[in-house]
Amino acid sequence: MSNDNKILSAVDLSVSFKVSNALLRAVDSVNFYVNAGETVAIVGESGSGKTTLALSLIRSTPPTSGQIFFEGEEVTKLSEKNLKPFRKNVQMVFQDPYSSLDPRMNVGQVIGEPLKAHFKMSKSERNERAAELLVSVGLNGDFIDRRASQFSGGQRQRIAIARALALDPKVVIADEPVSALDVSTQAQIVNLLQKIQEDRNISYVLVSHDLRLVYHLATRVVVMYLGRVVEEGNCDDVVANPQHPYTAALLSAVPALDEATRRDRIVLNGAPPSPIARPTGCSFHPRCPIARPECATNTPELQSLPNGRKVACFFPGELQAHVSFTSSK
Amino acid sequence: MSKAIEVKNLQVSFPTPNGYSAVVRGIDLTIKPGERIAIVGESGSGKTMLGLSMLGIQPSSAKVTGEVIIGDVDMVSANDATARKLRGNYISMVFQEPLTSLNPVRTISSQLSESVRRHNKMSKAEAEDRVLEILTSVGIPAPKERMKSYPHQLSGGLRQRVMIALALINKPALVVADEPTTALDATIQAQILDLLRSGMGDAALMLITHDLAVAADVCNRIVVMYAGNIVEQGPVAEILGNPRHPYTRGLLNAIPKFDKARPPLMPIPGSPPTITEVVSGCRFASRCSYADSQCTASEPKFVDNLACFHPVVGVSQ
Repeated sequence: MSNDNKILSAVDLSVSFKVSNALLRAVDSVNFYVNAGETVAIVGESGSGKTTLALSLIRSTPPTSGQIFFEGEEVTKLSEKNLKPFRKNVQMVFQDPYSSLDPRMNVGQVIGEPLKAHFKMSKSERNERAAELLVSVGLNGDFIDRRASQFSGGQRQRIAIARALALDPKVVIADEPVSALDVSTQAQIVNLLQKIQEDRNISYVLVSHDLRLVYHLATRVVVMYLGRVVEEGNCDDVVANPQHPYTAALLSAVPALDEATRRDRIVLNGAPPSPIARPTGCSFHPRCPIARPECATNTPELQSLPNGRKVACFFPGELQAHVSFTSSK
Repeated sequence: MSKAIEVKNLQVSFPTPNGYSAVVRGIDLTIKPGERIAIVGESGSGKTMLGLSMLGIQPSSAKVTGEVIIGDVDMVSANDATARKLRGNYISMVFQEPLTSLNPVRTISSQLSESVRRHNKMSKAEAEDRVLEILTSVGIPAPKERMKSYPHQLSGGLRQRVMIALALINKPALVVADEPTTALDATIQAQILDLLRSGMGDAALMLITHDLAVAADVCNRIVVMYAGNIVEQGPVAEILGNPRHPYTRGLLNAIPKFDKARPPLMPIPGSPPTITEVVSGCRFASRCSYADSQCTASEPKFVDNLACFHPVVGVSQ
């Protein structure tokens, strides 16, 4: 994997917020990249910083420190005017298609708005392009005259995807893109996202809590806990052989269709602590089933393992999860 | 109480411009003592309305007919006083969002002991002992201190444990839990699923969920609902290993799995009928690849745990 293949990356990125008198380190010294045409997933629970990282990558939430690069060029400090090419190329799809589409606009306006902002296109040109985009996401081109409120959740998410594609971006960041949808609709959107990637060689950054979905869609996965990356690697490797005990616990927590997974489940104690009062040493140690005394005092660095894997744990690979693999013929 | 809870021909309808329209369309269901059953379905399947109407707490515009027999009483025809007595004592509910279901200005202890004392002749001290006992049994750490807390001082997972404690405190025969883990994080969800599977004492559980894996994780039996009807039911292993209704099979094929080959997901085309839509024949027919003229001409009856003219054969992968 050569360096120049990275299309979007973050180096030593931190995002902090002032909360009353404390400092909330939502994202703490994170290195991240996505290659051209690749899908990278960011997984973690509430407070892990996964959404803040995503918002920071599109330069929506400003980083406190660190750098963001797009196609080799630093975009961290660019003015809004100079950011235009970046904005065109890095688009976002949000979780809730009920709140991410303006109810006062018709679908043609929703999809046409980015075209208006970036290109000098007439209204009829925009509508023509919007209709094409609707067809490409599996909807009827005539829908441009209707309002988003007239559509079901799955249809709305298709409209949101059409809007994200309007500027022909190279990267789409999708934050829980199917978790607000019904199961049968989720599969439609997942398949659509895959088809779009095949057709356009787009890169995805997928933020999700659903490890089965992550395994299905992503080539690489980054696991975050309390603002830090605790593990990353190829999906196949990470799921088959998790190195961090938190990853093992997350995998083990996936509701299972089989008995064995339930029997051997790793159930963690308690809930993730507040990112304002992060535990000393390894942040995960109070919940970790294999923690030793040193874990409370020393902080494990994210260290490299073979095959592009990384883990931040003094006892990598010690805790394993039972994962029920299925195999299709 | 060691008697089964029986739901007979339960129908829940709402007024529409063209008269009443049913969202629960004549459900028959028996829940044995201590059994854990899951009601699985997507939005609009009627699963939540089934649960609410079993407790008699459906929206006031709803019209409910049929019977829900709890002990020797029919919840549907019972007067308010009787229904109130049954709720909590015989049947109780856990909702998805514990923060909005608990009273924000009262301590955990005061909410739980009120519920105990409403149904039992007990002193305040006795009630508090019972509260401590139940909070301990649902796995709340430092329960004595937690009794003095307000709901907002607890994490989402602890709040849901309090909700479950509140549902269990009067030793009901049945707890109805509607998407109790949907709002929770993965590792917290695993904790609550454990509790629902093995920490409910003698109470039966009716788990309402959209997630077949959650249902399989907790329950013995799965009941699949579609557009107001039960379309299939059976033991967990049967439903997952050999689903006979095309809708059940469709739901299973639509979920991503840990499969190295990453076979494409198979979505169910289309969407369920809306409340006002008039459907002739099987309500799933328009989305079903097995459907033929028989399916659109008449509605299949629920026989031998299945409502389908063309059951799918063969083991699912």
